[in-house]
Amino acid sequence: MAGAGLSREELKRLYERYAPVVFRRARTLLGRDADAWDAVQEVFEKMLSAHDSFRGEAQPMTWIYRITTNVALNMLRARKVREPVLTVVDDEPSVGVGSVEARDLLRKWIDSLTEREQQVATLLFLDGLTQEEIADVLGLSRKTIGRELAELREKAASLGAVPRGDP
Amino acid sequence: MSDHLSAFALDEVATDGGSPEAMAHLAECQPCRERLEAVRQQHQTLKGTREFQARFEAIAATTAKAAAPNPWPRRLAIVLPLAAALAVFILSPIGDDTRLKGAPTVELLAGERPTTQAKPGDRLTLAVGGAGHTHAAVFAIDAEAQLTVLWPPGDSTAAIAPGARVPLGQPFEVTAGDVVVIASFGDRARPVAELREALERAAAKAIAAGTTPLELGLPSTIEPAAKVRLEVGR
Repeated sequence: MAGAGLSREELKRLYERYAPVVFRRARTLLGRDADAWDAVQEVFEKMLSAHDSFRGEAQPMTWIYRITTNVALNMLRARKVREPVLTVVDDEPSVGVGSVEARDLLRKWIDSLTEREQQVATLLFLDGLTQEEIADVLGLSRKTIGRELAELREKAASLGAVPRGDP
Repeated sequence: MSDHLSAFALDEVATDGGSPEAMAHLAECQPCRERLEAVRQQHQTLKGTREFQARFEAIAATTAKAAAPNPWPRRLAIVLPLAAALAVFILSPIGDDTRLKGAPTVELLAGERPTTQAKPGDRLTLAVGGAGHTHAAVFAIDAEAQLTVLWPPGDSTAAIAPGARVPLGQPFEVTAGDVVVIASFGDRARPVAELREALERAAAKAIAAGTTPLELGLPSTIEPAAKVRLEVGR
């Protein structure tokens, strides 16, 4: 058994399917391969310890996005104290123009935003998710997300600039 | 981005198969098809790397260990006189060398002298230098990857006094077996369980890589951090 009621083969199937997504997402935020691999490991260990909730997701990718975003933001917060300057990764094909600018702004804002605001800002500015997708990933209603997005845009504007990738 | 598929939608197509709307969009949108192809190629490249397989083995090893029957009681490398000894913490810096900048430190003191060697039965005191950080937690890991939270006894990292060598609690008694003592610092309280989890993963990774947990690399999630190895002779 590989743990959490999963056989090694089942774990391997999940890993083959989702680990590349987790790695790319984490690297986009963290900017460094070694940290992104650490995030992959942490996300999968969380997946195994919460396997029932993962399996209960109608869209597994919503769980992957939510947990990967949380893990990467936690790592970013922990790292910020010791490494203010980070490597830029610009070969991620799934994010749009302005993503580097958005990521730099997110890092700059990290102390000014609440954890929820950081999650929403990441999904909105960096990933370019739609309002509906953000609501799905965070498990919130569209109404709530709409209100939080409006507040976030206002706060982002007060902090300096809104990334060009703002949908 | 609103004219094209989001990163989320592309990842869904690349892994679980996309929604009908996403598939319809792809049929009409050449740029999104190219982005999807690039994502798929990246996935294939990643799957071919050594790190991809190494991380899988580390995850499998960690979860297998978690699923194993609880082996307690196990030999602990350091036995703490818990309860009263750690119920009240003395947070008074000793010496005049108060330091607020530089790297944080963790030390083991025999009396007031730092040491990295001890014998079973010796009594040592934990001491940290926060280098400006306000909170800390200290852990010990032995060669078998058994982790003990040395300080604090609560669920969150605890406040430390400023200073280069701040004793934490009362002396404890050393038992057989080398350990590495690791302190994690921060500027606010953090859940100890979160730090413990990161260290257990790092220890499992060290074992999976064929090295000893006594030489594990400090995971970035517990930074800023410091460590010291205690060699315990007979």
